[in-house]
Amino acid sequence: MRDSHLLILLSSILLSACTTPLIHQPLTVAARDHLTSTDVVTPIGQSEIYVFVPTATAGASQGLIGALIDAGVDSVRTSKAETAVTPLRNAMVDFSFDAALQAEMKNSLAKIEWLHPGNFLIERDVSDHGIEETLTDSKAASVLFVIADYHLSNDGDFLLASFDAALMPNNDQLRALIPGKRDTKRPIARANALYQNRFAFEAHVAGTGDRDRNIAEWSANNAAAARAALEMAAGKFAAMLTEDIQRPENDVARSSNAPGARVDVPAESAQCTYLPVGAQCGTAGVVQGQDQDGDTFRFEDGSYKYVKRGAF
Amino acid sequence: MRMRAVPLAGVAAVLLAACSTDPITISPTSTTLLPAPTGQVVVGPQSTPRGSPSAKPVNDGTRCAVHVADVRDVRLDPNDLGMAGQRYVQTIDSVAWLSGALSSMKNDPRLRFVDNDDDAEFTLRIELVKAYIMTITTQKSANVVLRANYSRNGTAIDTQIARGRDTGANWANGSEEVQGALNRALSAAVSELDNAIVTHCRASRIANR
Repeated sequence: MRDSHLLILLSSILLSACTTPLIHQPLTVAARDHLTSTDVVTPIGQSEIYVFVPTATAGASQGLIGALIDAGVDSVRTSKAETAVTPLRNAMVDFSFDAALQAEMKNSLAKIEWLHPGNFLIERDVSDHGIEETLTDSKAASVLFVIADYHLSNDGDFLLASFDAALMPNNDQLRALIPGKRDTKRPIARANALYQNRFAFEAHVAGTGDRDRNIAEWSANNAAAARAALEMAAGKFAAMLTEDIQRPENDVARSSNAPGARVDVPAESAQCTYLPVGAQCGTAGVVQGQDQDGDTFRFEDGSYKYVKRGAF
Repeated sequence: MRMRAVPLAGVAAVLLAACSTDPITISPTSTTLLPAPTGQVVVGPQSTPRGSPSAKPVNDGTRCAVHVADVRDVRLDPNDLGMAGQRYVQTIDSVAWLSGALSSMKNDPRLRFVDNDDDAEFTLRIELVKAYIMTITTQKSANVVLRANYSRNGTAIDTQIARGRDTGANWANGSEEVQGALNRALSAAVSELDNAIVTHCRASRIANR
């Protein structure tokens, strides 16, 4: 008898070790009913597009000398990446991703009556301190934060935009409805979110295997491809968020046996070394929906990715 | 013992600074000024002159009369200068910061700054379009982008973009290294703009012969 208890306990521990931790926190009906007003704040720490540069790790096991070598490698890689992306930056100096994103969110979230969206703000201070200050300064009952990031892959082959959305309570009534254990020390702690999820958008140019040539593709015709991709990213994200925040609270993630085309994101992929992109790292997803431009994948952790079909 | 304590204290100070999340405020008056350009001048490859001839050396000996009618920060948040790690970077007066750097152009013997349109070969309106620092891996990159709008007798004749960049190791997200990187990027942008103005002037004189 005691052995069987031990077996059950061990099995549950082992099974939980295999389960993908959930990123998605659905909004409960009780919390939804108390959302009298919501400010929508978009912290974006970047002013222009950049190229993702993987951190050098070859010298990690060689102490201080190794660290210095890695820093030197980082320096060369970063300098080259910054030089390579400059023509693209110059071609879209008049383009504002912030404005495109804000316009799409305004348009899309206005369809959700119970959210009562009020102020839409872009926040440049993306530090924990800055975000916390924005929350405490808000007069709204809740604040929907959408932390955004956009960049080109290291070889310039694809553009990736990621969005981290979290609805934070800003009055006692809503704070009492936090689903799990409340973090009283950090108001913006993930544990305090009434709703949260991650979204990604990916679009490619016809890859040549050469960064400079790929960036030339993005930059051609006054950066037509990059502008179109970023505008599409803003639009697809706003639609995904609007749909997801209205999901029933028992619809947390894709079912493990859901039908549809499968996509795997191995944890060891180069992009997964960078946090905001890591939404789907080490997990798998299936096609949740399709439209004229591409496919939406929903992952085991509840997050989403829209992949544009074909190349720009 | 004391000898070992000093470098250790230095290392500790650097590490503590790296953990800081306090905002950094850039002084608008401490911009590093570049020496006046000398010798041949070529417009940098990052500028995108519209309707102007390709870059050529300028050495015609006469000074170009320019009226700078306006200096503005056209960004949504004028005092924002990006993020260094977890530290927000800002300035209290971005126009003063830019104007301080632009004043270095007065040292350029090829240019003569005048106070009204009548005495000028053309009028310039200079805009701060981008100014930010960001961290990438263990590095930091500062970028400043200026837009120069040229006009003559109230008629717009051209627009040019000048970009300055500074990339280097991010030691500790420290105030001084962040200020230094942004100032170097600004100085580089102003230097490129200075060269572009001279080249523009030369092209304009050739066209008006």
